[in-house]
Amino acid sequence: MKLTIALLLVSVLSVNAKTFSQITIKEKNIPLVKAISLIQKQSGYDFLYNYEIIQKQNNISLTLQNVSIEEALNACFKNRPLSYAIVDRTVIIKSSSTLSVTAPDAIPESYVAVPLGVIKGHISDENGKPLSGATIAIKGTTTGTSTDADGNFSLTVKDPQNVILIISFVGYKTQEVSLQNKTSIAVVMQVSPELQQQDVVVVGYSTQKKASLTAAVTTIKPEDVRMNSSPSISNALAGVSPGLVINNRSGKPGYDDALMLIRGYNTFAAGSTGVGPLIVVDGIPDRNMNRINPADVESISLLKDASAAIYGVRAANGVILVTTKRGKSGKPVIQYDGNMAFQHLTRIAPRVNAWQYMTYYNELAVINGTQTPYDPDEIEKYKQGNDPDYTSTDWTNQVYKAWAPQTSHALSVSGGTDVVRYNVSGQYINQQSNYSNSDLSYQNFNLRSNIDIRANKYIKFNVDLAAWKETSKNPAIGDNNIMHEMISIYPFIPVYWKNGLPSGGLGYGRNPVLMSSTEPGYNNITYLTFNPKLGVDVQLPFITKGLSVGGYGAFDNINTFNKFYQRPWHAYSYNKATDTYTDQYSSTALSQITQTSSQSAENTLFLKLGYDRQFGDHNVSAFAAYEQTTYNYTSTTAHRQDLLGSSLDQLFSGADLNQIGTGSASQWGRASYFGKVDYAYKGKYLANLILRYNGSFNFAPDKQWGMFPAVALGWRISDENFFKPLLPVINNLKLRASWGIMGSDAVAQYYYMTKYGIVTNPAYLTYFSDSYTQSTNLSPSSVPNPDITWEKQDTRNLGVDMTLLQNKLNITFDVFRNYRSDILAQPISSVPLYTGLSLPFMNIGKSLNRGFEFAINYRHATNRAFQYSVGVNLTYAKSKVIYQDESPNIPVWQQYTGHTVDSWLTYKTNGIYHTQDEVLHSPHLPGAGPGDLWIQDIDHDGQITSKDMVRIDYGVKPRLSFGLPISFTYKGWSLNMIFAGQTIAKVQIRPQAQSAVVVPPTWVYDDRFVSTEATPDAKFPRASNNGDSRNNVDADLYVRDASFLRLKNAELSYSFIGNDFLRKASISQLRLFVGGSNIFSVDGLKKYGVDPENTSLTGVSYPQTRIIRFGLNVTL
Amino acid sequence: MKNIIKSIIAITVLLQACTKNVLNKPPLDSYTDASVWSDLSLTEAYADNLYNILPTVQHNWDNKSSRSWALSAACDEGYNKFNDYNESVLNKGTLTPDNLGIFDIWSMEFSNIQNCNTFLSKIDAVPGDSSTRKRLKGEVLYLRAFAYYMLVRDYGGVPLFSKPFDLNSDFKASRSSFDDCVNFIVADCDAAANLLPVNYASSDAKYGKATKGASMALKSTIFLYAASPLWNSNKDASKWQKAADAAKAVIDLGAYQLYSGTPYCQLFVKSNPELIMVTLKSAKYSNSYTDFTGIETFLAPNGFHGWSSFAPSQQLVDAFNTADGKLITDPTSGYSDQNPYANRDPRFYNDILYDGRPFGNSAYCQDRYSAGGTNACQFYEGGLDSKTGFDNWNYSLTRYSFRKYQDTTFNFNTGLGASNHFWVISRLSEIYLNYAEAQYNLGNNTEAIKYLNLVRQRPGVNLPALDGSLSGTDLFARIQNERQVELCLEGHRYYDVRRWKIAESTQNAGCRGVTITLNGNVKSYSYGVIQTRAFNSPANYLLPIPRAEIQRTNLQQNPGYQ
Repeated sequence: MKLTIALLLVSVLSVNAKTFSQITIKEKNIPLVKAISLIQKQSGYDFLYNYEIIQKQNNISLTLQNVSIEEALNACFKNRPLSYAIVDRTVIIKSSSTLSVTAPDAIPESYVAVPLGVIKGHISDENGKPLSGATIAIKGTTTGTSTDADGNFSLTVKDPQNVILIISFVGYKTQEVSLQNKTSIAVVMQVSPELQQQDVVVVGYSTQKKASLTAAVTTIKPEDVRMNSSPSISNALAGVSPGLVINNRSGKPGYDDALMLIRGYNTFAAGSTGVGPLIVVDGIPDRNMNRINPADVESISLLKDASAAIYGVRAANGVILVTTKRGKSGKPVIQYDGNMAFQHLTRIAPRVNAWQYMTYYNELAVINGTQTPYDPDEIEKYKQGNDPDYTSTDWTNQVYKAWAPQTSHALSVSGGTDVVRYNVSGQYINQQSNYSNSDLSYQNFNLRSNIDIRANKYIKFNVDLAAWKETSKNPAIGDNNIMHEMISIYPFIPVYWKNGLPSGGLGYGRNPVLMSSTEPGYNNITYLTFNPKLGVDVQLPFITKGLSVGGYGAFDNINTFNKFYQRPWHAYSYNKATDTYTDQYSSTALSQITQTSSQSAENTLFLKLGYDRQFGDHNVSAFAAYEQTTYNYTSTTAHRQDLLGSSLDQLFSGADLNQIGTGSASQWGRASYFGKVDYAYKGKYLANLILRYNGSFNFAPDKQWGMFPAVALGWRISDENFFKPLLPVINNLKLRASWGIMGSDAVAQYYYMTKYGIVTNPAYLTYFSDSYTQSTNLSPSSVPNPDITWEKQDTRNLGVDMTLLQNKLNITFDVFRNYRSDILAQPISSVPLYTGLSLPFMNIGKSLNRGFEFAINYRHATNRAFQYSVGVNLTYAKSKVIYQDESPNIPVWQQYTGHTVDSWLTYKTNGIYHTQDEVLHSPHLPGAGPGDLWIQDIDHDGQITSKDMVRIDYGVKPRLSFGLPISFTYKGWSLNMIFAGQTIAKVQIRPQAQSAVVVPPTWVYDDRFVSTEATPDAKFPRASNNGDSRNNVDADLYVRDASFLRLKNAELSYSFIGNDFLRKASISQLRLFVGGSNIFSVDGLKKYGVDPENTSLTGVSYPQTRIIRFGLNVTL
Repeated sequence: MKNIIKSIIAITVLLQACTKNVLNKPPLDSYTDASVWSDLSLTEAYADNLYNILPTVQHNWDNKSSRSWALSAACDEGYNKFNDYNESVLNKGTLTPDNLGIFDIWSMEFSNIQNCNTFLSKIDAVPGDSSTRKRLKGEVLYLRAFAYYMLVRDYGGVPLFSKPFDLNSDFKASRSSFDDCVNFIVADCDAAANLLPVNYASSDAKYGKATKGASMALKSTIFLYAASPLWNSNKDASKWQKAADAAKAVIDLGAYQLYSGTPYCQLFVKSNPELIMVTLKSAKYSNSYTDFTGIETFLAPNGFHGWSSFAPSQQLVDAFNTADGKLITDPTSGYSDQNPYANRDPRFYNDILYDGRPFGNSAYCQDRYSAGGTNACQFYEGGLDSKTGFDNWNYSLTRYSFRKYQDTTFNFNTGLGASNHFWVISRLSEIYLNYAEAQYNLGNNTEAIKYLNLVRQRPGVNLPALDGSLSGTDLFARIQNERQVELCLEGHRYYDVRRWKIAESTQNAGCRGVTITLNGNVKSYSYGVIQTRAFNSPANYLLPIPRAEIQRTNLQQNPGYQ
């Protein structure tokens, strides 16, 4: 207590603050400090004063009866060298010099300028986020202060040299900091791993303390999400968590979200539908997680085991729960995040030039016994390359440009009082494309407002509104079409003729550089998404303690407006013989407009009765709930063609003839009754029980309902007495086990009945009478399968969580076994084709998916300035088909059963035939010769048939994937990197997979077979095209390992903290960063120009991108 | 507490009532079983869709339309530059059960048959007008017969089904003999003929739907196949008698007359009394780039900005007689291979675009005029329709294009203006030729020659009558030649060379074309093979059953395929 000279900012939070304080004090001879303290208590006002000055004052006697605060203060300071000012609800007391008060924020600044040692400081967490409300005490005294909303504090000390500050904050390790004459300190608080266990984790329909978790759940931190350069959040998840397999397949603006798999996949669905996890955002299923402003993400939880069973019929592929940020009580925190990024295509297949092209296709003509299309003289001229009439075009580099910009700006404010708390944000994204001559782009305006209202002691409301408007601008001609043309247009055709006119490509103006532009029109889509949610939670302690009732409703809406406008464009063909240019304008396209408006509405209603109570050592948390989701979709399409002119792109300007007005509609619904009980004894024996009774519209009325149970047990061994001796080594140890049954109804709708749809494909329309009147045609769907029901998965998980080395090392290890039965598949392999049956999906498959995953993280602070953390996480998941429909007569080596669900058939080869002798002495396909694939005769029947194909056990989805998160922090500097990788995955590079005569890639041209003599070491077949049934086949020659290790996301940043300039500008933090995604990759596919995550065999899909970005975050 | 329990029960009951609505979500985009088979107008919409069984003039690059155009490129009639229907595996002789690609119709036709059988199992119970019901049943019987006809001419005997399958059916079946299949097809044709009107006027809203005449024509064709060498190895004359009778029955209907208008090429673009059955396709969807259905673009030479996708072979060109009705191989015909296009069968000028032939509306091919040409084709080296002309990647390798089926309303300046087209399923001259061939095989040469002459002497063709004394192989050669010329590009030649068992010689000859060199004003013509071809006998007389089917059934594979 001695000589304590402190400036105290005493903040008294007063719930029942009175507007007109009535103060009553009857005290004799008390210290002035005490009098002030009494006034403070009664008024609820905050007081700000120099303790030393007040302490020096004589004692005072007061007799006040129901007076105002001003009267009370006047009484206190009468005849004293003190004056006061009231600013807002703060009383500032100072010596009676002039006290100029402008704004409350300015007060501490001017007032702190008292002599003695003023220490300013900033307290942040490990991620540089300011900690508000951290306590700073001077060791050996009771004097102290706490940080403001920005993590800043200032403290006046007498003897800076010897003062030691004790800094503490709930959930963090308490630190002692020696000042050593410094006047400014920045302290980074370390999370206390023991206390970390108190962290709350979002699980299905509830939250749980991490310590009492029995499930295999990973929580992804918002920092990882914010590090992502792509506008789609799913790309942030690569390499971050064990159990999550992330692959990005395209970098197309607005369509670059990643494919996500939890623990591999275990069903027969070939594509991305039916294998991916259920996405739930703030409790509402089917919301788009990719479009959330990264700054709004509070947490992402992955439910990987039976804990997902609470999602019943949609749980079998795991569940991703995204939770958005909510406001906390306190001063408004304003934050701006802005960045500018540049996108660069990761890989593009290099293709041959004009003379190589001609050489190649002349070779092909000779092989096919047709006339060679190109004259040797002409080829020679292209080879010389000095005649302006004989030039070569690298079409890929003409269609694409190297760098495309992308920007994002986000602004948020969050804060609140005890009654109302808010988190409000807005974001703008603009992403351009790498087409060199195109408007293809994506824009998003994004708003979110999460408001919590505590109406009274028992009732809480929350109102969450999220809305975004996405604009996707596209060329009138689809990407596939443009890229098809890009890889099939002859390299001897130029983009522009020598007189500057654009070329018309192979005819009809199909010059891909023009096709990607706005000249042929546009195809623009606007999505308006509105996600409102209203929730209420009522505590019912007056009925019984711990009882609550609540629920929420949401009506999510997506309105889509699609306008397709096509018009003819100018492009010229050139006739060398006559030196004439012909405008292909009128043959390029019809002028036409198609407008489609659609509305999809998904309504969710959730009601919950909760019970949460502790009885001695028994802790019970339980709820029973009802949930229903219904969906409606309608669309309206209008079409007109032969527009009056191309200057007005409106429907009415089209002709009446051939106009179309049509539409479509669909609907679905699901309902569930479910509940969960969490029980803990002494916090160390843990049990959970989940039960969901789920109904899905997708099955016949008597097959709609099913029960999905799950049980989980946990044991915190480290809490046992016998474990105590081990605690210094193993700080925390928990065993977990879970089992559950979950379902998947992810199959196209209505297979329990036959539907008759109206035929719209022009190829299947029929006409009658010589006026060619179109008839309305009905086409049947599959034959009905009245027994169809959901897939069932028996999910088992064993896990261990461990903390070692004074809480620096965290280890989580899980093994899992997912047995799926009733897998929905068509019996297309066994039912004879001659039945002509269009087959429905049936519950015919069984598959087992087993594996393990682990995460090891080491976090260390060598000293206060430098700290680092390194981690590794790995997932291995191998599926095995137990039963699948098979053709009875296929060879055993082609059977699916026993192989992985993504296994496929391919020919084994000995490379290619190099000599006629090799052909003659081995079984070969009819007509085979040197330069053709040397396919192995697996069944030894002396012939090469499809029976010789063998099954390869894995494909583009990796069996093993891993991540390496690494971070270093040194003072304000921070470097974060996430490496992601995979192995045991295969990709095909078959050069002629696109169904057209394509320009061969250089790697196949350079290594092709020409003749026995000329190319004795050729690796790839002779010239061939897509129609070549001997070489354009699935063969191991074209299969490559898709293993990779890539720097998926990285960021280097510097934070300015405690800087005077920033303080003057009221900026609590300024962070500058440079970062990127897909920065580099180590893999074996570079020479083929194939990205290791690419799965497009044909090369006509938008490639992946590397993104490099620069940005800043400002926090006020 | 009691109140709480009560209210929970009340809420649960309330929710359960809601739940029923939540899960009751019938499809909004389609009709159900119950509605289609209780409303005759929906039933007819279902039947109309089955007309997709018939080959079509539309070029859709799928196996639905592979039995029209593709057939010409898979035999000595023509060449397809772009291998649009995977017919190259046939031409190269490399056909296996693995590589049919879109040339394969096995699965598609059985699916069509299943849909027909579903219809036939339901139609009798559909309430409503009985005459409509009767007509629809007849149409679907005809269509089922046609689907089987398409299958048997490609694969030989196939399993026969007259009831629809469902998931609980016994799927076991075996291949019926070719003759049993013929009997099945004929039974359907007979039944259809009994239910259907003889013919529709072209203005009738039902024109293009199956008729009694169409059913009887199909019967004639299938009997001709059954009597031919490929399927009649012991030369059973009764089969020829059935073929003759069936053809004569169509002729005796009196409902059709040979096209008598001029020019002859109009026969294939305007409805006329010779047509017995056609598949109509509207130009409505032919104008857009994405559909590729406009046949003018598809057939025209590159100098017109066409693609020359299907080009006539030199063999077809050589099959056209001289104007005096002689084969060009006849030394007395006056034919000169250095002046090859003079004095030919008038049908040559109607079916083929050759060097020097003016084509189309001159206003619709202005680019040719801007380049100093005219609407006369320039297939000679250096000409507008050669490999150095416009859009040279589309030049015709044979240096011919088809004129047949094209009309002159198509505007090559704009690539627009395609008109409605039909594909000929049956026409009277085919029946005449069926009849002539059957009578020849029955030894009635006079009757055979009479019907050949009717075809050859029709107005617009007017060839001299054949020598009445023709007989034996000479007469048969004339019958073969007449079919090759008269029915070219109608999908007959591919099957004719097979049923006559001459495909090994016609295919192994390769596809021939011409190269025309201009020296001053003199053109010289040199002929050669533009594509070598191979035919494995006997395997390639039939298609292999796809391996996918062999692997799931006990069906016998066709000979020569592993």
